[in-house]
Amino acid sequence: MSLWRLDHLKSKLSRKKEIKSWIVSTEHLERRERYFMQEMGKGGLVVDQDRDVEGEAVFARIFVDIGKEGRQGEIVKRFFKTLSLDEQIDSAVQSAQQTDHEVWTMPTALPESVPEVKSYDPKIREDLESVMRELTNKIGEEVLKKRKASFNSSELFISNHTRELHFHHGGVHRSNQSRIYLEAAYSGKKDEYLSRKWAVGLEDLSVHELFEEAAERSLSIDEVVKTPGGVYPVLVDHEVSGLIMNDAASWMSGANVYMKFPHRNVGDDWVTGAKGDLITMSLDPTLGLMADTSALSNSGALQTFLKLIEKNKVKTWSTDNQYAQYLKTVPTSVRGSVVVSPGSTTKADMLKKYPKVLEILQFSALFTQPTTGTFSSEIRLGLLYENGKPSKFVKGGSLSGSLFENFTNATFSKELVKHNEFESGFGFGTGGGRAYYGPAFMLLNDVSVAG
Amino acid sequence: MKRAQASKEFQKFGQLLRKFLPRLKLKPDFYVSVYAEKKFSTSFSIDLKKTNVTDNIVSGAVFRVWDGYSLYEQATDDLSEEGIKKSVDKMAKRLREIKIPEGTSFRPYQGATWAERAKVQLEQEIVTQIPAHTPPDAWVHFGVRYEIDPTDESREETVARLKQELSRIQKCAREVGLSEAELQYAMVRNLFAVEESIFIDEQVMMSQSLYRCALTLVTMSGGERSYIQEGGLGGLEAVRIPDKKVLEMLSDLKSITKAERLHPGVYKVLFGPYLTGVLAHEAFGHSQEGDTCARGRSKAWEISRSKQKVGNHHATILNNPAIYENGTTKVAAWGSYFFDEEGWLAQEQILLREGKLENPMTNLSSALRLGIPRTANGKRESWANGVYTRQTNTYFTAGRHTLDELLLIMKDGYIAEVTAGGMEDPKGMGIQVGVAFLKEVKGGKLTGRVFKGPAGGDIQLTGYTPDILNKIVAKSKIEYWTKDADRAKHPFNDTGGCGKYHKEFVRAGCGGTYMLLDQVTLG
Repeated sequence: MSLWRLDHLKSKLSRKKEIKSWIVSTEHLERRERYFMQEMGKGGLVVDQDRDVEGEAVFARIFVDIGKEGRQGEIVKRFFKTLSLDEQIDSAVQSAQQTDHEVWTMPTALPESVPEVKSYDPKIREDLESVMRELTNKIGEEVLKKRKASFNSSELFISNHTRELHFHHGGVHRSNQSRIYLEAAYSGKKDEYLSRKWAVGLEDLSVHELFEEAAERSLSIDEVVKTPGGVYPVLVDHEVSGLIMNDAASWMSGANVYMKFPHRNVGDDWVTGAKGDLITMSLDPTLGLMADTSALSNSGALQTFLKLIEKNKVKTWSTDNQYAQYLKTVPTSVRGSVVVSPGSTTKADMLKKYPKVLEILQFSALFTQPTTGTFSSEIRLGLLYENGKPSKFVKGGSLSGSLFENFTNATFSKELVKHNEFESGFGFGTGGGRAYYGPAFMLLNDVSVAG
Repeated sequence: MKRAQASKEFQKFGQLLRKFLPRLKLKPDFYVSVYAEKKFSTSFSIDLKKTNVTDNIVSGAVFRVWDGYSLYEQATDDLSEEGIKKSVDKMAKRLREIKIPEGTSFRPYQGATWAERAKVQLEQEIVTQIPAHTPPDAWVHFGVRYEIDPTDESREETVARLKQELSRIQKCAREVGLSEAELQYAMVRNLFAVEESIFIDEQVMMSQSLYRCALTLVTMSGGERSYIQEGGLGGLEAVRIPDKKVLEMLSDLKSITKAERLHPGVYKVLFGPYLTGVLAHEAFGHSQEGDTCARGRSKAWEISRSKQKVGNHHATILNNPAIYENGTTKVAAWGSYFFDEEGWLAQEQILLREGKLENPMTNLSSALRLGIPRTANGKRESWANGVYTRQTNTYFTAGRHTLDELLLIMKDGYIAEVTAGGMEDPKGMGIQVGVAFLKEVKGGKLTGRVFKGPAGGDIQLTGYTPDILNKIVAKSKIEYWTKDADRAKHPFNDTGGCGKYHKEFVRAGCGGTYMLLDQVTLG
């Protein structure tokens, strides 16, 4: 069984004459997982599954000459340590030679000074197991608390990710990330509510608040009526705006411009005819303890704060080295949290702005279509306000919205919150998730709701 | 037809894993097993600007111990002997520290022998691959059948085939009247994967080799998108797309760029086979997943005990990982396999029979907690993820009508054939089925008018699941284009995926036939 080391891979990639340049990314993962549930018919807390995961992924992005003017080949390939290194490199080169991309050149060195960014929680990094014990105890305490709602289940995942980027020019960049996932499901008399949260640091996770939210909202669902159909001002929280604003940012992506996908040009209005709170949106890779906190891009370019939209006017595209060369523009940052500037209103004032406001407490599954800016979902739980006061909990029916129609007279709250989402699995590069830092609530105008 | 063979090297690795199992059997009651997988995939894609390739390998091993209360897993991708030993030692240390929780029940389990496994009704495709009188320490290998060996196709041939597909899209675009400027994006992607897995406990050693092939065509005009994906388990015969389908995709693209907006309301709608499958998957599908039931998160468990009906006589839903001939093809369906990731052999299961709930699907721990039979639904995203009860191929049974007959029965309404996701609500019994667009039907004929959602995006069918399943008016035959009796055994299951509660993705087939629903909410 072959067991090669990283320096073998690097040196062989450098010596292979067909290879023009390369980037190798590695990720070491350690993760603990516990799945908790109520013991059927007895009420005790049982651990359904207790898992310990350790893994290491090595990916290489390899660039080759394909003998065509202005073109090159490339591949992203995962390398496995128990397989022959030579065979894997040969196979990668042969595949890359079949590909065909416009040529671009990578930076020849890493930036001289790479700032430290706060991308992990030191406590998790130092002793993941003790954090697992601590949070497990907290979950146990929450489950034992007397509540009107019944505890169903909870899941807790905590992980450390240690990453390295190695470049053909000899540069090496190391980074760490911690992740915590917690969910809790409670049932009222008729229905249940699942609360879930991703965080990078322990300071952004309150076990108590998450359990309390699930328990309280599961009772609210017992009181629901079917959502009345109509056109509403709709109040959405950071989970929804986090997704929609990340989609929105893709309209300023240089990759979209190059591919001729729908996009906004510099100087365009973001939303035509917008009034109300005008959006200011940035990418901030330095914002600490976020899912996409990163000092460098995957091609080794320094990532800094980038303003994409200011007061509804598009300021710049988010374009890495590759697409900047294709588009003949200056490269900018492509990583970071999507940051939306606050409004000047409180949630209470937003709810008083119209005679009726529908607050979405949870969607079943918000599906967005970034290329059209549209989104839609069933309403899992909502709260209808009349003259600023809660009127009734609603459930069912669906909401159908558009970035360019329902943000023409939007209002943003002045309270800001963080929202993070991760996907599982290994991938090439520094493994960012989806991050949002912006208004806790957004009030959208004229949203169609099917009852 | 040939079969995918066992990898001798991987089976040899399995023997190494087996050697370590006794180290984890710290108590006689411990049920000890190991699962390992090695999945290679190559994806070539070509669009109007570039040709791209990605090579991936997902390989790892999971040691598992069920102590009668909880399932303990130790997962690693360090597959060297030293790495395995380190992993097993770490797990043994964890097992020695187990404290039995108060107020919990002891549910012991020991593995099933080949003789015990043979007592249930299995597909011939499985039975014929199990040698008689197999001892616990001998391999039983299952290999998927294929006609055109996908491993024979060179990279150059794959790229050439994809270039032809791209040219075909451009040619068909001209035929339907889409100009070069209007067809802003066209992409063809070919996925080929060799997926090998092994499962070993004290009673059995089994391995399986699956070839997974898929061909995806995506086109865009403005922000609107239209696509086709064909695929299955088998050879390259799984990725043939007839011209008719490409023309339909492009006609749809042309139509949806000019689509009108649906006024939210209650309508008659005729679901195409894939959407019917999404409805099955999200309805009693997810509600019939044993782990969800065991966690107290599904109403289906309570309803099935009360024998209450949740649909009319058309509402029969199956889950079946043992579909080795999908619809009228000779290719295995997308969500099929021979055994699941906990070593249980694939079998057809009825989840809902004419509106009445049957037992849910299970993984090992949920079967033990619920006290019901195991089914082959223990699946995970990869070796690095936990096992849950997950769906395989979920579908409605076929009806007796042709598509033309259903259109006449519907008279006025909409046809929905392209899915845009879906979501379950097992406790609240709500449902969300996303539809990319609707085609209007008047007097049993297509009018040519196409509708998107009220804000120009996807349309959502929503409602209370039992209400919707009581609104099924009729279903088509599997071979909906002819009045002749169906020759196919199972309805066609399309290539889909599932992200149970937003988190971890697995492949899943969704299928059925055309299904007419009356008075459902669309918005």
